[in-house]
Amino acid sequence: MSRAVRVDRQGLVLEDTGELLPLYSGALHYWRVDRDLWPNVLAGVRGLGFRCVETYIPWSVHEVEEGRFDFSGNRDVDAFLALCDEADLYVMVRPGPHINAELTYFGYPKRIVHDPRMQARTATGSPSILIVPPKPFPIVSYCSEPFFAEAGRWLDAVCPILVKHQYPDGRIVMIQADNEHSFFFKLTPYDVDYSDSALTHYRHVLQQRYGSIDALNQTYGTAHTSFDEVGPPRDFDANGARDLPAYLDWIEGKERYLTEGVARIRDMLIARGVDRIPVAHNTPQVYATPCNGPAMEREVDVQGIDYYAHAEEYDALKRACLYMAGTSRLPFIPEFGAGTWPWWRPATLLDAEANALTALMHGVKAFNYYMLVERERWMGSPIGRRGDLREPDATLYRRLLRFLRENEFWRFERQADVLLLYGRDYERHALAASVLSPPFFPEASSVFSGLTQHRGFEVLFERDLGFGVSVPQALRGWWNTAYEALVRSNHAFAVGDTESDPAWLARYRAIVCPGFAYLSAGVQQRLRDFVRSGGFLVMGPELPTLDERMQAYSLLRQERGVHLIERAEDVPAALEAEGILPPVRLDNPLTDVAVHRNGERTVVFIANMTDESQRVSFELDGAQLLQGRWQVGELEGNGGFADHLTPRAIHVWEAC
Amino acid sequence: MLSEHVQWVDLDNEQWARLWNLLYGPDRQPVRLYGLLDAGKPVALVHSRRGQLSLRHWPGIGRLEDAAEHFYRAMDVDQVILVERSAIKDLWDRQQRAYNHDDYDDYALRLTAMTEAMVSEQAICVPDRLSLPACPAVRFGPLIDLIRHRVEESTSFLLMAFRDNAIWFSLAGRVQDGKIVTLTTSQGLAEPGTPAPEGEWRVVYGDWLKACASRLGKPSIGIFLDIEAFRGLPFADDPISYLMEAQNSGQAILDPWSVVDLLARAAARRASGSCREKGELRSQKHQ
Repeated sequence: MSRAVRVDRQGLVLEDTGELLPLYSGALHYWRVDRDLWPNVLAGVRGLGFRCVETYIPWSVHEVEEGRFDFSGNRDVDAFLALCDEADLYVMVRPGPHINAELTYFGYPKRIVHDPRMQARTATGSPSILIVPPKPFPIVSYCSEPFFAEAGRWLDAVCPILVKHQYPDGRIVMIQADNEHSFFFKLTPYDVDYSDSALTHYRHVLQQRYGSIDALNQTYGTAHTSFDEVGPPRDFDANGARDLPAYLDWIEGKERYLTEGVARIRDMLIARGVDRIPVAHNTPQVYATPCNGPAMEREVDVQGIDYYAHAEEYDALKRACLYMAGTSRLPFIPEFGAGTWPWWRPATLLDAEANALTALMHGVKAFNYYMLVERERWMGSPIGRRGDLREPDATLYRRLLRFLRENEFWRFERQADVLLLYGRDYERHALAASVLSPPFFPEASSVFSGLTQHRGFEVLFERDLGFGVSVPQALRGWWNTAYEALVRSNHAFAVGDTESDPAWLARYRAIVCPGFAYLSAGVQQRLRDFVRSGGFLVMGPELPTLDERMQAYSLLRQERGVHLIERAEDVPAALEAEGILPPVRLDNPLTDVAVHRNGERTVVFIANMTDESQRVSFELDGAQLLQGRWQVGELEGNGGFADHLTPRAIHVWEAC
Repeated sequence: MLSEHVQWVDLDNEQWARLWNLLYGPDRQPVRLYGLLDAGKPVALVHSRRGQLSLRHWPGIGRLEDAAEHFYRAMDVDQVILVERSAIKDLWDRQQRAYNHDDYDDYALRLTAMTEAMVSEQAICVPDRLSLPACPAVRFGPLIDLIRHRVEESTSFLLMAFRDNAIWFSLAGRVQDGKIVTLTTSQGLAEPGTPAPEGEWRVVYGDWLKACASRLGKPSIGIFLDIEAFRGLPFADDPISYLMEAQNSGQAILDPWSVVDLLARAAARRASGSCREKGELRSQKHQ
């Protein structure tokens, strides 16, 4: 079946009409709203200016007993989707099987999570427990065949309804395969999944990578007679470079566990006829390994990052947005906090405004507010669970949608001449070198919470493995210094990933990439190709001489045009020497800037990153007058402007 | 204590934010320095705010106890903890194995107890006394005990704190089948279209009890506090005595009056270790 909807950099394109549908959506959970109130609630969504709603479809709610599904009353998703059509609202659906949705057992029937055949296992073989209110439960293994058989029964039941409402026959324009697939937030290296089926998957990954056990033995320095003998790492015991590939392979295997788990759910959806609309996926506020955005986006049409933030977390949200802008075909926040769940720090309206503008400023093109409509186990939404609009919250969301619509903001593209690469090889190394693998115990290990809740969120071994430096520590130092230098110098950059395809890298004039003694052969080749096609490559603090198997490989050392920068603070100067200049220069380092362009139109975002008022002056070539597009007001100047921002404020100016 | 199907509904975002800041605000978390060891040798040094520090900071002092004292004097932290990382790994492993379908609060309490026992037995701490754990199930343990043992079947409980007669925080719940099945705030108690009770809190608390009765069933327990008294409650060494003193000083109203007696008995039961044996609420009917 041919696609009826495709993903575009600006949103979704409806193929039959060619209409571009900007993806600004909001979540409501039909089964948690009285059916009689569905029309009220949908009218509220429409009234705020949204053209798209999103809903989970919970397996555990519809499966009233094993194998028997109820789609009546408040569970009548068919009727709900028909009402969306009547209300002129497009729909994104998320049928799981994992949905979280703050449901007990995260949307799985209880019998699933308590079935030992379907449980993920820790490094010592016990079920891995997720401690969340109101009931801790064992997490599911996405390598378990019995689990996929059960998930198939659920999808058999729900997909006929989805197919009926699939665009153009209905209003479903996108579907999400599974949800926040991330080992249930257990992202540490040696916690899960050590179930037999997961280890079979790991050995399959090794077999694909090495082809023969002899090749693996040569790299690992082992004498296995078959892949079945290869044991997974359960702690970081590497003492030399030769020990490292086994750990890098383990982490890469975890990445593939995630991407292949989602791909399998995608295939199950397509096999059941949901084959005309894009498939999406999301990660829970992370882009670091074992999540792998570019690899996931080879499996699905769009891979987004969920985000729940507070105004003071500007930089963390910014980094995630820059990563989406620099890696995804549609920078999309599939869950963007509108309120919070009760066992998390509540967000205020000030947070909501700051987050929305931060995301747009740094390149996000699409979002789904979660939750737009309040329901049980949620608070702080702009629409109450009876369809009532909450003020002043509703006014903010209405204003945001009007701003986007009136300025056709989806047509703007954030200027980014430079791509600062996330060095996935080294990130895998850093994750592998974890001193501890804490199992997501948010509260109960409170005495030790300070080990993992600090700014860096990680504790790493300081072992140089014969490289001369401890790569994880040196990586953090070099990368963060380069990032901060680019911010301070107001360079227009995005954050990319060494996993990205060459065509993606070629969009940028310059690439900044961390470099240490080794680097995957494939990445070295892609970077060399980038240079040979005229790109400007900055690497540091050293150029690699080995590949990921620690075999001699120094493609980049031999390449003229690769610029070695040992001190990361020198990166901006190297770019400027090449003629790559920041589009705007601010005179206040406590403020931040981003420039967006749409043809002849130029929009400048100025952010105050602090809790105190700030004054900032800047120049914008050719502009005589700036008009406020979010805030009211104008700035006059002959190329030079002075702005005054209240704490945490972000101003949006258009050059006139 | 929580039903797996608990309805957590009509929560007042601002009230919840105040509680969150009270429990987890930036000044609430002790600043700790952790030294992780492998067979007595340091492998990592972590500051709970600044993140991982280089091992170069480790002093050239032989005895670990002396190193801990040195860190405490030199690093301006509330507590230094030196511990073998194998002990932490073992703890986390034992904690996952300890799962047996417990309620959230029971499991959290058991994990916290396991953590504290491990720290007491295996870690070098300066100062020795542990700061109050962050887990609300621990902080409100005596109140949870009270709900477990004294909120009767198909009745409710209500906790409210006031500042200048305005509601600062509220929490109401309904108990059924020995578990909390509904949790809400004043937002969920007020009848739609009907003005919420207003005025001197020591007078209108009765109206809130009536509202709670009409929405969630007759309250078995009502606890009403002045904001200053409420702020100290989660951090009191002995919350039961604290509440009784607050009532005596006019900063709290406990309803019914017999709650005082119930509190005292709950404290005695807690001291004797007989609470939380079953991992579920036990109404009077079930005792």
